[in-house]
Amino acid sequence: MSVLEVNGFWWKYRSYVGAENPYTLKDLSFKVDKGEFFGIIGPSGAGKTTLCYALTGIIPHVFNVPYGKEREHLKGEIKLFGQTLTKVEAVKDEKTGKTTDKIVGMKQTAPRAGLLLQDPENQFLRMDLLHEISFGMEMLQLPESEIERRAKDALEVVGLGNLWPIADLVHPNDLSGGQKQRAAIASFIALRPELLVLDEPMSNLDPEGKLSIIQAIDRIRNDFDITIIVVEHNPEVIQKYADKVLALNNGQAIAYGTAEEVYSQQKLFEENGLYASDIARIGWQSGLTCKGRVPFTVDEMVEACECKPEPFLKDIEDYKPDETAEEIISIKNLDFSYEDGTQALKNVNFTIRKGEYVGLIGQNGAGKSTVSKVISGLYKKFLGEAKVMGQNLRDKKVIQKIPCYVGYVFQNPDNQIFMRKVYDEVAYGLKNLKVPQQEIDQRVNKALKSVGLLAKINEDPMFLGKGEKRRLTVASILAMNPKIMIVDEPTTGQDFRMSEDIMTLLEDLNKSGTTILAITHDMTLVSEHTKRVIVMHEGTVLYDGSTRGFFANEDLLQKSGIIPPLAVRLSHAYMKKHPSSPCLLNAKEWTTALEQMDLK
Amino acid sequence: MSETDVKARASKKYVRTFIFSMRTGTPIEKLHVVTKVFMIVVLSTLTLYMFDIPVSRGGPDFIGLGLLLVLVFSLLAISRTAKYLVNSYLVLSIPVILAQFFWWLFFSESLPGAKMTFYLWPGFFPIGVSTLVFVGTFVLVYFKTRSVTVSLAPAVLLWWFTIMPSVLAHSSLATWIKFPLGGTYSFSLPQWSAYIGFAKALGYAILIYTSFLFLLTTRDVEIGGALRQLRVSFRKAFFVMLMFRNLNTILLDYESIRMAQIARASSVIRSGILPRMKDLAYVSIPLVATMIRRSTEMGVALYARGFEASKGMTNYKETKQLSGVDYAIMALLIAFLIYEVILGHSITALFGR
Repeated sequence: MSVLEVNGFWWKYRSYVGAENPYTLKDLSFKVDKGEFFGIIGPSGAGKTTLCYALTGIIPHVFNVPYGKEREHLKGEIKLFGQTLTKVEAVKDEKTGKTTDKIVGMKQTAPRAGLLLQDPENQFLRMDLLHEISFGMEMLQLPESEIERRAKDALEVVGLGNLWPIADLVHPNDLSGGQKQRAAIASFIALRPELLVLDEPMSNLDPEGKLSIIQAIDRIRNDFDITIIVVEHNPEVIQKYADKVLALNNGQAIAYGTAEEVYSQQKLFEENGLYASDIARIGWQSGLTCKGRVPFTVDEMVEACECKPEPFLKDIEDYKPDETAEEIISIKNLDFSYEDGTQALKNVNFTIRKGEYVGLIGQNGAGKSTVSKVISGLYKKFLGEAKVMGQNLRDKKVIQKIPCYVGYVFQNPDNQIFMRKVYDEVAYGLKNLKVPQQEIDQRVNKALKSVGLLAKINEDPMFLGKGEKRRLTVASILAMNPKIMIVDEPTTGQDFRMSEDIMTLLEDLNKSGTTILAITHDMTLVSEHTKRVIVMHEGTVLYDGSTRGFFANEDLLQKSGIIPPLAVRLSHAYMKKHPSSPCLLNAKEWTTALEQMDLK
Repeated sequence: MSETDVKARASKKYVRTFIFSMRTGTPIEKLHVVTKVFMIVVLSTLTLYMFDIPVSRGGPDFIGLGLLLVLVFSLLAISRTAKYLVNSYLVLSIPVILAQFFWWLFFSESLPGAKMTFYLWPGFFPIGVSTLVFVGTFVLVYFKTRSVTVSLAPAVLLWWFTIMPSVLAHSSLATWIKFPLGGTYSFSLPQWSAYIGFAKALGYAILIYTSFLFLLTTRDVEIGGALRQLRVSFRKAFFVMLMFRNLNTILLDYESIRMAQIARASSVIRSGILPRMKDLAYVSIPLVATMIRRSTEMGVALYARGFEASKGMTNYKETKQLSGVDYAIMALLIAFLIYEVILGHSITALFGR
């Protein structure tokens, strides 16, 4: 039985100013069966979130259409649980006898269908976890004892049972990223929905947090027989769990079928900028196949490699610290505690030299952001020694001047755009530094050119796309000519192409001499772009050295709670059979190694 | 509750409130929100009355006002919220309170009584209570800020305040040794204007810090619960609750936006008040954008949890009953109100002047 049926559905948002909006969803038709795990993939702006809204009735009940234009804004039909959810029909008014177009269907989908938003913080409605979980049940007017029982159960199911005794004291925003997302899932589980729609539930989480979410989703699907629809970039998750996949681009369906059918189409992925797994990329590049298609899993790839002689890399590039280079950052015995007494950093030591590109990795709450904020002079009450360009951060005068040396690109672009014009935005920092106007013009132009936004110099940043906003924030810092640039989660919420763009940009900057410290959860990016990693764990530095050295060491990986990218896991699996082979880090290295193997 | 549960609860020391957070397990945490609102209302009434007692009836009751201020600060201290206040709004509120003081000092209408002398400089350098005030302030602020200049300013200001009134400067109890230095610079004002100015400053401090006490120690569930007990519909109660809850969110957003602004060199070159105000105005652009996005998604979240179609709301641990402490505080406030306003007594008069 199908839970959801979408037939020829079109939608466009109403526009409050100026021209009409284009259609966000165009002629979509698909079915989701009961108990299915349905994946939706697509680049940024493809209409994925809009589709989630439409599937749960938020479109057209929260985002409505102008009166009299129903048929123009909404076409086709969505059926949920066999009933019409959304459809435009000509309804005859019994009093006047006139027929008008009206949107008919279910007005409310809760509690039978639930929607988990991309950013769990925005969907929290209460100030304590207990009421956050029970809010929906209170709305259903369930008896108190039932609410208590279900709330406790829901927390257990998502693996947050340990928070039950303090649930009435914990603010949902105080939880770590993975916990927030699981708490949000629990608030729907408690409602016993038949359908749960999750919009990118795993973005912005550390690898272990991602795993905890997917395990929670899989568990509830089995335990409660819930139909799951997930929007997700991560190919590994979709390939492993999804029964059916729908790929969107520009509001249109570009592929629809089983995960195997969709993920074996090389052209589809390359043309639309979709995330393909490391394994698939290696397979496509080197022409390896398994079961008549590109390999999907590590095991399949290892099997496919068996037909070839052992892969090797002629000269493995590795990280060697340049002892002669100038020390840009030097941290010694650094301790830091927050006002409420939680110790965030314990005896942290490291040195970063000029021209390095360092990845700062670790689980949520490991202390990565805290240490970066100490370096950039934002947290002042630390113990120990912190020096930037040889100057001590204990000195108030040094702290005041830090923004001239350290550029900090924050996580959320929306929180760091202060001006209503792209030019002014980039010039803002320079004006604060009292740079002469002529030089400001030059520097703004140069910075915008290097991020590819020169054409939009007179536009309002608010109307830029997600990826453009992110690049603008980089340009704003770049124009200030910092000696070191700290980028916090540069690729969160960005699609494959945007992530590649931003990483290439950072690499170019690094080549032209800027030292870069990148905080990220995306291990694929770390393995592809950084030579050195600093791994933090519970406020201390667990490892500081070459990226290869870290990913090759399985004990360290386990201790740090970091799950390495697929290419590295492939290396581990391959090394078990062929101990002499090197630990290859990414798809590029694997492809080159496989090519060289052919030459051999 | 099992032993591990009790331990887990004990380890959670702070709980978030509308602004910042408060210590768990204190008597303040257990106060009913009705008591807190009652406190604001009674304290405001009392304060407004106490600093306006006419001179003919003994003048403002500033010892009484002082007691109330001590009460408010003890409540802040018990809930361990005083430190947040000190770190943020205390500095902002001091100019307001000082302005009140000077306004009433110079612009109060002609009042009866003897003149009183105030020194800009008394003509000698005093060693005495003023010296202790100077050293004490300097040490306290220095430990907090670790900056000599920042600690010097309030120390000098408070020192000057203690040598300003002629009574204090010449009292052998307050000033032990005098080193003659320069000439005397002074001005005289009716004695009452100083008392009234002082009382007004105290009074406004009470009004400001009581409101902070409310925001620093209250959570959404308390407001929602109290409104339910007052039979307000659950929808209206929820929106009031959401509004207060968002104060906390806005504060967090403000902090991260402000950090981004500092990273863009907004305070590299020390500039005057005007550029700083401008900086503050620029914060509003991302802040409003974030708020708009959040409120849109909140609408979606409300719909997804069935708020729109709901016809009522279960009371699951939403309300709490008034406790003994609540009644005690209310009784104390009412007693004070009767003593001051209805019976017309004044604590200052009790001690004599």
